[in-house]
Amino acid sequence: MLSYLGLFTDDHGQVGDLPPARAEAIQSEALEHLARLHALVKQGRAYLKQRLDDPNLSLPTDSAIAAWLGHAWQLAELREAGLVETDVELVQLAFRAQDDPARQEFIDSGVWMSLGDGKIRVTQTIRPYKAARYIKSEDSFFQVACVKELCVYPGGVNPRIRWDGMTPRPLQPDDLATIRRHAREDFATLIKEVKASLKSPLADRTPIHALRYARLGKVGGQVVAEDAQGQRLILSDAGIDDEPPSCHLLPLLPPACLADQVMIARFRHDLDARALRIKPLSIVTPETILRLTF
Amino acid sequence: MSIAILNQVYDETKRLAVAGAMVAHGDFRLKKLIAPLELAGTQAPVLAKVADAARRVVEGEESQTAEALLDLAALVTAILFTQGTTGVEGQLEPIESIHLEQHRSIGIQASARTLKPLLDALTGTGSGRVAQIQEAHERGLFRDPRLITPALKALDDPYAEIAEIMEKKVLPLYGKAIVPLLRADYDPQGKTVNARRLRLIHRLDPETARPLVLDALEHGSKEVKLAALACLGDGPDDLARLVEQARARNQEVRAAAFAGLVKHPDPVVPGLIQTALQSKDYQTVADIIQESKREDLVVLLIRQIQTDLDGLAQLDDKKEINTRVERITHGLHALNDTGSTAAEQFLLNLFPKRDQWIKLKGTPYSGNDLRDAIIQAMATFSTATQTALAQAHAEFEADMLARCFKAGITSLSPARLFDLFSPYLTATTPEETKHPALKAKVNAKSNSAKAFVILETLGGHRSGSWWDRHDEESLDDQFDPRWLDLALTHQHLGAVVRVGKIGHPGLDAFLATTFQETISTAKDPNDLYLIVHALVTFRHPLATDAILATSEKMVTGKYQYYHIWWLPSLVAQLPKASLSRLEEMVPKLKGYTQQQWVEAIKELRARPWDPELDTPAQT
Repeated sequence: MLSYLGLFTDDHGQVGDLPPARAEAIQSEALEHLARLHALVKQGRAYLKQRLDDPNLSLPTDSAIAAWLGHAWQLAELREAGLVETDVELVQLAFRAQDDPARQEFIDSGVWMSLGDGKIRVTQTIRPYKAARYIKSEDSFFQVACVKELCVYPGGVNPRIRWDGMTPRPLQPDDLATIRRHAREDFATLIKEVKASLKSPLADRTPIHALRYARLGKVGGQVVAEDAQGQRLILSDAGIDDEPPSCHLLPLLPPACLADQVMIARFRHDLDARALRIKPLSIVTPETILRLTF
Repeated sequence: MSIAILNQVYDETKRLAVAGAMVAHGDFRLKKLIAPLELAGTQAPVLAKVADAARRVVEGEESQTAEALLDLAALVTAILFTQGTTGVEGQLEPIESIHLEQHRSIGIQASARTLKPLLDALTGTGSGRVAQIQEAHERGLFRDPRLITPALKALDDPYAEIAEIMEKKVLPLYGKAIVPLLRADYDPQGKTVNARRLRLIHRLDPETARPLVLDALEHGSKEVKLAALACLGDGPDDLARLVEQARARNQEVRAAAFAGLVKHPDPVVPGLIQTALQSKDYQTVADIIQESKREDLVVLLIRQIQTDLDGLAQLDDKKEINTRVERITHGLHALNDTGSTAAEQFLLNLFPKRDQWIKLKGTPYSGNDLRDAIIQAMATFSTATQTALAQAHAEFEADMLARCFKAGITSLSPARLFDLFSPYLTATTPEETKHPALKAKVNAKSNSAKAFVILETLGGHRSGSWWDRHDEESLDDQFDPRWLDLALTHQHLGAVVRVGKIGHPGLDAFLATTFQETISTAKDPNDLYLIVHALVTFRHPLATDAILATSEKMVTGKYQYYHIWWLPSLVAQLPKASLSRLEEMVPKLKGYTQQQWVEAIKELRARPWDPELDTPAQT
């Protein structure tokens, strides 16, 4: 459990005496997890009661409560529930291969954007240790995946997606232009949306969005993304321990990357700083997608 | 909405959660907040809800306190999520872009499947990591900016060889761009990793390093101070500092100071070096001269060696003999790689006198060691010394013949090499050279022992390291084709591999037989290492069968990927026609080996069509 939550351990994963600030952060994180579990118990109990009352009740598609309670959606179920999109073209924006010793699983997750509607969704290949040799690990993907039938799991901002088969085609400059067009240019509206989604206790705590920044700069040592209206978001790696840090890579990028580009960013509300911050995952330029994490 | 009071409620809730729900009921600090919350609730109804939730904690049924506390926590957290600050006030300063000097290649991004094992190698502690990291460096993978952080961390790898690769090969790739990152972690009081950081900063950006270097000389730890000395430049101030440190009590500090001094063109330096050569710093200074390659200093070293040689033959005292011979052998070794014409002439003059001191007995250094050192120096110094050594082969017994032959490989024409050394093989039968007892019982003067040495020099060491082949590959063309016939006659696999040519019928038959014999008796993957490589390298028709048979054998044994790490790397060199058979193997493999295999198949699939290896029908 400690390992799962990453709680009560220092930067080197050791349990022991921690500096006050770190202890404070851990307590905030733990309380948030408890509140989340509490909400899950309440909502889960209500849902299960409904199911007891009506055994024929179909799985809810407007929330991820079934998955929270352990239901493993099959592709056939997703199709039956109408959670299917056809002829979708997807571009992978980020990829992460994780080892989760607490859950005894390898998790390969990809962040994808649909070129048609700009929605950002995620793939997850979960390989339990015991079955790892029988399940092929996923790799990062640098082309466009043309998917005939895309199944979308119930969920919030970045729901999980799956498909049976796809045809790859090379990524063209037009595709990059499309991704850039889908990026959110108005930070203020986006921030409102993110805050609104975060208040739901079972919402994804670190939603991913594409945002178009006018420039990246520094204010008092903090790296900041600013939109064309002057609205700002602070960049930070804090609290996202399962992804490698990426903010320090920004000064190493070509100067052209520091203005008028699109950032694929993970939002996170820092409960101690009481601030909403973003962590860059990739930069999309007219020429390429520069991945900053793996 | 009153954020301040909400924050207070959150802090109190957190405090109570840490303390435990059993102390939450009636908590006066939380209770004190209820009234202000209710007041604020008249303006913002959500705060009235918070007030209700807080009241249930402090005044509700005691048995329900835990649940009430969680309700309050969930509510306050949810509200705070909507109230987080986002921006920051102030002038937006530009980020100073210190983009990678090779920024054109920054867009090259490795796949996760390539990165993962490399990251494991950089952050793990197991064996086999050096080869993996080295290979990644050669493939240019470190130009992916995502590897900067792990590469910087690996500068502190407990295995010094990896830290060394990071310092000398990998991190310099990023140029000035990483200097701020190195500076951020630099601690002048720290240990070796900080010395590495300082040296790197100096190498990448001497201007930035200068104040750090001067500070480290004054306040640095021993390791950092040594690094700082090595970073001193050629200004007059630096010279004075180095001269001062050359008199330090600590031997390592003196060594670092001398290393700095030899970079100075100042006329004071040769005098200081000459004095040091006569002191207990002799060996250290000799090594520094070797590194510097300065002709004027090499001449000083030669003079010192000559001084030590003068009168050596007349010495009786074993201790004195030992001391002198040790100094001379070290000095001769230090001449190597200097490229000095004076040193070459000195060695050519010394070589004929090598037996002059043979009867001297010291403890432990004796006249024999001096002779060996002279031969060793001849064997490596230059083409002229190597030629002289090779041409003198008849004067040596088997133990020294290998050095003559190696020197000849490098320096003589293929025909001359064959003429000089092939008689050792033609005068010997295969039974004599194959006899295992030869390895244990060598009569150094017998021709069979000498023939065995020739074969072993050609390829006997190969069972240990395949990389040697790559190192020597450029030399292979220097072998007269007749060597292959001789190697096949003596059935020496290593020698055959060294001088082999693709498509030679005798070679193909020999490799096929050798593989069948080896696979049936191999107990360890390494037993198959050389023959499988040979089959693939010489594009033998059985190469794919050999790879698959070896894999099958290893799968049934309890071997880890590092026992057969070399196997997948050969897959990409097979004909494309092998693809389907290779793919059938994938499910039988495990873990990392399976991943490597899949990657190798991918590489083979992507490999351009090779008209000599792939028939049109196979593509």
